[in-house]
Amino acid sequence: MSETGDGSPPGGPLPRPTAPWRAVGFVLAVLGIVLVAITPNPPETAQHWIQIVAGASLTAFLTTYAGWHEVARLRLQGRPTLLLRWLQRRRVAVGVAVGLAVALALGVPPAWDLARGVSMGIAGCAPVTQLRMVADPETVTTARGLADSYEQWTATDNHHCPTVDVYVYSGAGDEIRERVAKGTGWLDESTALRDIGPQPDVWLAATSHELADLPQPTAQGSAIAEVTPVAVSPVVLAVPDAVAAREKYEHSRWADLYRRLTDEDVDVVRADPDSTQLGLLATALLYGVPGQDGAASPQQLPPAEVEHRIAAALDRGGFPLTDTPGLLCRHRTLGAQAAVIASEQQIVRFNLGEPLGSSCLSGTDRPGRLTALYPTDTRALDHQFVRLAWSDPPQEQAAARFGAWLRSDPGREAIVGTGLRPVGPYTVGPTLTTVGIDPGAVPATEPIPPGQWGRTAAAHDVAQRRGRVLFALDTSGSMATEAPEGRRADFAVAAVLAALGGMGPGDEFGLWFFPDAPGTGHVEAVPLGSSGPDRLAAARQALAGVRPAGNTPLFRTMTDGAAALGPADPGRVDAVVVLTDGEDTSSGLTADAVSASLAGSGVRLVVVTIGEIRCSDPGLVAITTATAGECRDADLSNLSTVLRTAIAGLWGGR
Amino acid sequence: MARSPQWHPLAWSSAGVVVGIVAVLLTTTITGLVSNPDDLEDGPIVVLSGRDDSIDGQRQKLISQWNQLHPRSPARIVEASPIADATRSEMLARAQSGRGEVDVFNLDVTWTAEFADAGYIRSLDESRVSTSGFLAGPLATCRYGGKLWALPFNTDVGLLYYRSDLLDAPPRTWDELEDKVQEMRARSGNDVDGYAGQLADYEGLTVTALEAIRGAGGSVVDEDGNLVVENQRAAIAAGIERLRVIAPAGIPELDETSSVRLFQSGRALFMRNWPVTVRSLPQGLEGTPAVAFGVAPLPGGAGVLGGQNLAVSADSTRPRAAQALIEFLTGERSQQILFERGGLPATRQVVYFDQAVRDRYPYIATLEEAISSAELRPAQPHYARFSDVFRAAVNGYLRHDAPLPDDLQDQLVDALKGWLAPADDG
Repeated sequence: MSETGDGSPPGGPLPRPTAPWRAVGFVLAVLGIVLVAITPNPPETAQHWIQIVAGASLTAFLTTYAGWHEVARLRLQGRPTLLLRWLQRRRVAVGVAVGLAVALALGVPPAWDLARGVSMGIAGCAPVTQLRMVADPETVTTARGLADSYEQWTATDNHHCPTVDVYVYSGAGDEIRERVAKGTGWLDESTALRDIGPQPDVWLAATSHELADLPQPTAQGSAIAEVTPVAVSPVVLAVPDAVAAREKYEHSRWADLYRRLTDEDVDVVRADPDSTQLGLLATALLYGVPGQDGAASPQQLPPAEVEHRIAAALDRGGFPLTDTPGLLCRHRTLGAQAAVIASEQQIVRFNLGEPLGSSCLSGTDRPGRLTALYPTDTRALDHQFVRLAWSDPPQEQAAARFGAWLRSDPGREAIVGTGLRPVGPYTVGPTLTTVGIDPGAVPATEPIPPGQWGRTAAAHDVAQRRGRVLFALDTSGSMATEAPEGRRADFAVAAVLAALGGMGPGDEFGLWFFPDAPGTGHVEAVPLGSSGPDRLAAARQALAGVRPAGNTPLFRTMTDGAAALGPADPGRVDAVVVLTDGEDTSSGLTADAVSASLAGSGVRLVVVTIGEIRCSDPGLVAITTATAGECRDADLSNLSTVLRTAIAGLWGGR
Repeated sequence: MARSPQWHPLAWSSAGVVVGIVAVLLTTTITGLVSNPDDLEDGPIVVLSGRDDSIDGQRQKLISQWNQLHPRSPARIVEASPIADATRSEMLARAQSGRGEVDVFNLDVTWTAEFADAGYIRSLDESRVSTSGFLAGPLATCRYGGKLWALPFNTDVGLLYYRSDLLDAPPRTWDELEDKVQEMRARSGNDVDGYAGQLADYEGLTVTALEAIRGAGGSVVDEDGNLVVENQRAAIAAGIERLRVIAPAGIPELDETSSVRLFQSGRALFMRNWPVTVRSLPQGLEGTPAVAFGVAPLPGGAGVLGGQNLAVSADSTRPRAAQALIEFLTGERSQQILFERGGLPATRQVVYFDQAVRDRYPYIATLEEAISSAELRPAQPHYARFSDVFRAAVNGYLRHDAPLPDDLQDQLVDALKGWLAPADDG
């Protein structure tokens, strides 16, 4: 009934809450909001219900009561200057409010941090973000070291509580590349989770060449979100003291250095280029990368001659045909006098006596010493930090922070600690000043031309010597054991079939099963011969008919197999590849007798174990070391991969 | 008819309260009331688990049974790595992702507290879930902070396997065990040596060491979960020293599989392993007779409890179906199948009372005794770090002749808070 046109309700102006009441109202409204926010949704207990109802009601009540009153009192009628005058009249209150807000903004964070520190000291650390990282077997030790350093660093500024927990595991390089190329990662196939490992958020790649054929980060549907180079390690030719003392080798190119050393009867060994990035890069350098002037070096040896000399060096020194840690481990075990082509980081680890790969799991207190030579045209392994795009936000942010840390000062310090050279300015620590290393030597900066990789691989295929491999598959009774994943024999058969698929046209193979019916010998399923399709079909048929039963005449089969391969031919790799799950039970021979008779025969014994026997068995160690072979432990889930990589160096080219 | 001014505040405040209550009710209750609480949600229920260790894949068979009973809510197991740490990492990452693609986690007993504390799993309403009928120890591993977070899927406890052809009866005390080992070593021309426990640097070593410490009358944690290392230093040191003495020569890096191999080859007098080994040992190495063995509880009931629990993921969109699945898998019939056909120790008492089971598997009496006296590892969110620190101390003592650190209690207290100690070289 009021005739005032100002919108106020009839009966005169509304009573205005006094200042103390307004302050109380403000606090209660905040309390109401906080009560709603802290209550879990959906509410589970009666207390939760009371909290949420009371909190929501309080806030709703106070905003409708107090707020509307103030808005109604303003009577702005579309004149903003009134608002300014309103503020000016209350300048003391406004000034106090702004000052209080600034004080809180500046003072609360440190106070909050202190409170958090105290609460973490009492209640324990908050749950940390889980980050999953994968690297290939040669790089996984570096990856673990960097992950540990990062976790430590996050804990230093956070009251001893790390903010991230990094799980690092090793996976075969080609399997990781295959998954990343697919783009969907682990999401569609659950067997990847079981057979390879957790879905990685971060991949520490050994070289940028590994990423060459993968989709770019900017491409549609690419699994790669970010690629950052973080560290490099030059490829070096590491020579023993006796050779290093001879003469100066500075300012040589790879071709000159290699020719000079091998002409002086120094054995130079190199890892297999088909299964290792370092091997491939080293091979490219040995075959000759066109120099800056585009001309090949006059000392350049043709690929066939290079391979011939390397093969002879590997045979003479009793080195296995696998990866560089395998070469260095054998070097350390035998106290060899050969030179090894390796990365600077691997030589740092060798000289410091650290563990080397899967065959030298423990370090040594009396390490040998190799001196690294840096040819002028050498290149480097450039480690890449790859962040994958399929990660969810918590992992994505944690991975990005990890990558950023690797490019910062503390990250670079950690990289130096692993024996690598970080990208960017850094201080040389104790690792890079290990005797035999020259941190001042700088590799050539221009990358290997893209086409060169393919040309190198092709030339290597042609030049590499062929393989003559006898597969001996354990078909004893224990191979019928049902493991949770399936029958052992089934996995073994699948692994052998996959391994046979890696043969080249010039290679030869044979397939034996042991035991035979009497239990002391073997069955010749496919005799030694060429790798033609009809013989492969015969192998497939024989493998399908495997019926596990009987004893394990392991050692007898090894000696018979070596004898069947015939006289050694240096132009050919002769090997017996044994896949077994148990100890010898019926040969009547001892391991020592076997290693004595096979040493120097030119036949390499490669053993892959599953089940109850492990490569740490002294008999297997003696046999594989004496025959320049290799031993690898496997589980049923990774058996195919382990067998394939263990024998990759035995085959010739495609 | 002027309205009294005093009514307006009351009207406004009432309006505010009513609005608050209505808003809350709308957002929480109505949706719940509309749907039938007994209806299970449709769609695939995803169970994330480590490797299925049961004989003949019994877990998958149970899932297949569920699928036939509930065709609209089928379940499937996504199997992660056989390595426990890898499985834990994948489960944590998926839980943190918030995407809700996993409905049920098959957690190791030592991870339950971690997942509960971080809010990755839902607590179970005990008024709706029947927990009577479960064994006490396994059920206790499902509780944290006074709430029930999971149901026990299978349990596990360390058992003593001994050579029954060389010993008439299992040792009753750890002193007797040590004496028997020394006696056997003293006999010349003998390669039967020692106690094949899990000694490689992983959780197996933590378990084996805790059992040896218990055998010496000590403990690292008391019943209330407090660390008592300071008070029990002598007993702890005695326990680890005994482990060093009875371990096979050279303290090899044994895990469960290589312990079995060592025992099966006849080169160990005793073995410490989980119950599922009872079924696989008799196979023996071909050509040689299976090693004659007996199984007994660890002397003095020193076994440590293991096993797995099933929990519903906090961001699952099918919580009712997931809970129903969990109740099915931990129900009496499923537990009986898991033990009889799969060899995994059941978590329900009724399985152990079944006369037919007792007749067919006589070792079940031993198993029950061992489970009832088994010790629980600390149910703490940062158990993994605690285990790392503890294991580093044990490993240093066993393999590097390093004495137990003086500040071991403080180190463990810090580890239980999740603190990461600065790395020291050496």
